[in-house]
Amino acid sequence: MPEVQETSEHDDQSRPSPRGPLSGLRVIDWTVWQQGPVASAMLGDLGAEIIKLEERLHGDGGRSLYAVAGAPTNSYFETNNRNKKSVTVDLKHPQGIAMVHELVAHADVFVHNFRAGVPERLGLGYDDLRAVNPRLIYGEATAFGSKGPEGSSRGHDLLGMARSGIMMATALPGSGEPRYPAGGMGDQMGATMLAFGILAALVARERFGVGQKVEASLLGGMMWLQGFALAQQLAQGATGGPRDRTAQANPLYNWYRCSDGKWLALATPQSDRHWPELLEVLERTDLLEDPRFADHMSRERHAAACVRVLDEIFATRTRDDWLKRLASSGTVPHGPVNSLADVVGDEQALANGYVTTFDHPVRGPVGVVGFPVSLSETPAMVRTRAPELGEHTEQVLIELLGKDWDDLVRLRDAEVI
Amino acid sequence: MSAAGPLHGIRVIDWTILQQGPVAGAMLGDLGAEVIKIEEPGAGDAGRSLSVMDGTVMWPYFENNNRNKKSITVNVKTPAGLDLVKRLVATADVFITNFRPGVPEKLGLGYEDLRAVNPGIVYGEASAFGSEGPDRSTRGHDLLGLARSGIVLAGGEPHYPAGAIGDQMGASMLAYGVVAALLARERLGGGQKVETSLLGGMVWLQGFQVAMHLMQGGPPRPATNRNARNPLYTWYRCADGKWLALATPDPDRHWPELIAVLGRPDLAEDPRFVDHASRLRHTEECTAVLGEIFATKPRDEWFRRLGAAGSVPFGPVNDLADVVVDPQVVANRYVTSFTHAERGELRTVGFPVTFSETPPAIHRPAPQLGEHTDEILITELGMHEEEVSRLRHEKVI
Repeated sequence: MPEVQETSEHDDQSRPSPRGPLSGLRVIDWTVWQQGPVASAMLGDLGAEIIKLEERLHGDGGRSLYAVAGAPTNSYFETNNRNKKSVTVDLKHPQGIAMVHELVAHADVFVHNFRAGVPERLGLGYDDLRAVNPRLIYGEATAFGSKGPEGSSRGHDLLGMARSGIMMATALPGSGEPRYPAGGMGDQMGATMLAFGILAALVARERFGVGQKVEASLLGGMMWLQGFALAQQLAQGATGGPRDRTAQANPLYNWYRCSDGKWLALATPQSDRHWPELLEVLERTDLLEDPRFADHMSRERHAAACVRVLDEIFATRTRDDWLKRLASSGTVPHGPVNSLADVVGDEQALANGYVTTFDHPVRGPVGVVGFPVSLSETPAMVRTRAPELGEHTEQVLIELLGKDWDDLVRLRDAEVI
Repeated sequence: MSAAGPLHGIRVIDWTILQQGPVAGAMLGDLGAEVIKIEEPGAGDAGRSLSVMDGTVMWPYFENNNRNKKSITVNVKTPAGLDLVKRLVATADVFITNFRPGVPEKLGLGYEDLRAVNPGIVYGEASAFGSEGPDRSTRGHDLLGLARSGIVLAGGEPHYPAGAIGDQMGASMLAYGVVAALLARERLGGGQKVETSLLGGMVWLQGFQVAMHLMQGGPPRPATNRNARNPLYTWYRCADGKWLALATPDPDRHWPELIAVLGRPDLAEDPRFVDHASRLRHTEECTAVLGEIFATKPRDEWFRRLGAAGSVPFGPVNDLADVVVDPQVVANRYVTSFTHAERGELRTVGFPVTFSETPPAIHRPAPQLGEHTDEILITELGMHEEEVSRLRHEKVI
């Protein structure tokens, strides 16, 4: 990539180079909890300046959620709000709205995750802000999409996941009881899709000069995540249903418990190619002669028996031992079934920056969630920790809107900021 | 330009197979980019034969992963084939691959090779476990990415969540990175290499849980067990066997309304359930009491009552068959339809993001193998028909 002129526009002296792909862009972030905050945190990871607007007294409800007594850090708020500045403002005060309009006039993107109708009532709807800044990209995250009978319904992660089908798709065998795969996944997916949409809209703005409104939701994100299963449902009227490891169609695309209780996964969609090598590793080449397991089709017909046989074999050695043996043989795709405690220490996750370290000003170095994408020239990075409530109110109003200290005192006395 | 998609005018050379890579290309196509899929002559992408429906020829897997693409067959293992790909890359904005790190380099399609041909190229690579680290070149599939990410063990005993979410997440992150790099190119100039993986995507998807682990030493409770949860943030079975979810992170506000809807205002006096903290202490009892009440009426009846009361957040626990007909899903185009040349109107997965000015669209169904080889070689690379015939005869295309 050619030389990039370092500009002081919107610059922050603590920002290390190289710059992210969004450096020089400014985002006004009026979001709470997770779906909205994570979307703008992702834009911050890519180098945009993020100004978070918060309610004057308590701020984002995410500040108190999971602020477990005695825990040194609120991981929820920290992760969702890294790389942001915080400005407090009373949006029910006309001067507060005027201030936000002024900020939007100086910005490229506005993001919110209030229910459809709420921003419009306050004068922060797309049409209001487009009038102030026609090139604005206006991002909105909802629970179930802004259209339809529940376009303005209240919703949280669980409701988005429940509605998307994923909880029934992973239901417990037997009782059919739905399962919640991992809390916060719906929020995270909706956030990722909103950030994706905003990036695409920014590209369109560069190329065609248009601003626009971009929307994502818990429901839309979770459905996209299940694209394969949904496509099956749409085309065939059914899906494979929940997976039971003892009845996998392909025993070589399954997971097995080793002698130390740890789990190991095999994944060979084209299993005929790997079966002889696997049997070598397992030191059971005698199974080559077993007619039930002669090829992929016959293993599928005798899947339960094949899983039982492999269960017995894997139970004879520790997982590390099997991982070593499989790796040295070379081609059978395999890997550990990690717990979260395993994954945050997995060499591979660390080497690729999926988990990274951040030098927190109060706590010192802490492990944080990293970035799912690596960019060779304009990488993502955690530049600053989540802000204290209103930490940057003065700075932003003075530097960006040209207010002076008298103005600030007046705004504070009037309980606008 | 309106209605053309935000990536209208961008050309993507898509050298991908199976799911993670192809879905990333399809997402760029949904946004209006022209996507040219390079396939091996003969069989093409192995995804063409996976998940073929018994009896009828219908490929939800290949169709969904390759909508909005053109197909050109090229044998990249021949010098002439490699040259063709490079000539196409010279006309393109983006190149994406999901072969194992090291494979493109061996064939002459690594980032350095293609940057030499087109310095502005955005080169996207999706792998199993990332392009760094001891397992960078390891073969991997959806299950291995999920297994390694922690999600398979999220509920204690291993279970495989809905099929292929690891591929889908990695694909979404690759498309995300490519769009970010295109934006950097527009604003700052220059191409770059963008990488993601099954593992990276799944760690990100579990960001909330992973962060808790890193900063607070682990999630407070297993997320999957409904009896271990806030009884107002969980799911209940109704009289007709259907499941209903409640989600009130601020439950003290909603408890009085809920017990009124349930016709049990007497529970306001129960000292075990007097506030959020006491309900958490008696969560199994509270879940059992509410479970008995919900089991007395069908789900639609509860929906009607909860809807009329107004403020308690609730919704259905759908299965996928419910999802595809949910009016909310249809209204927001999360499921959409397109016209297939042979099969007519087909419903398929829609778009997770809505754009007011440059909406995504399905412009074309998944291509037949090599459907656009002649067209692209003739119109884009300026070849004559005889030259195309010769390449076909030499098994380059």
